[in-house]
Amino acid sequence: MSGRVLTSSAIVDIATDRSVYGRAFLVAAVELGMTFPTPSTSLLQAWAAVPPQARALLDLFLDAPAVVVEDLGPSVAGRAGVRAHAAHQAGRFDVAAAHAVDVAITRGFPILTAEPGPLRAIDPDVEIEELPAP
Amino acid sequence: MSGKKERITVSLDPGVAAGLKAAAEQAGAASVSEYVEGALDARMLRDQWLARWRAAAGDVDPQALAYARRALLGERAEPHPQAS
Repeated sequence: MSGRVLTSSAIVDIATDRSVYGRAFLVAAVELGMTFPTPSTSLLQAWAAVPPQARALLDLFLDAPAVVVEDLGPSVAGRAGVRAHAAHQAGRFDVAAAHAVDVAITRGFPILTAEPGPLRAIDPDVEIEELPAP
Repeated sequence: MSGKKERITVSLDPGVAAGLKAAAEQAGAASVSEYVEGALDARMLRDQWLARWRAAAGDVDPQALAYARRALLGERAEPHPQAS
């Protein structure tokens, strides 16, 4: 089973059609039977970011057979937090990015994102698939 | 899934039938029927969701979809400049 870990920027892309590629990746993943692990913290950021008229599509996104929400329990918080210590010290810490990097390393999947910077700040070597610009 | 089963007959190409039996065994399914039921259930779930998505969001740009499929399959992919 293969797939991609989604960040909030990718989820917002899907819900708002900011570029044609976010929805293309989602539909292709469903067609191919792939998995899109979605960190709950990325989901929280996406719910906060999308305009009200995009919320119905965000609900439908969550129903997609490819989407598996990954919660932030205490063991994940500890592991991801320790990994993000240097980024925190440098003032470049983002909770959802740290969570996404941990899910990606645990699952062995690349991360699908429109904004790789916060992920690179956590782990410069994490595998990233960047959504093409709109 | 329901415990009560309904028997249906399907016709398959011999090569597909052989592949099906091998795939069911490799997957550790208790029977070919169990394997087929799981595969069909997953396929119908995917198709139903895709229909809901298309009804709500419209069709995906075909060039972007082709790009995404190649990328997810690990094939070399370049975004199409005309995808809009």
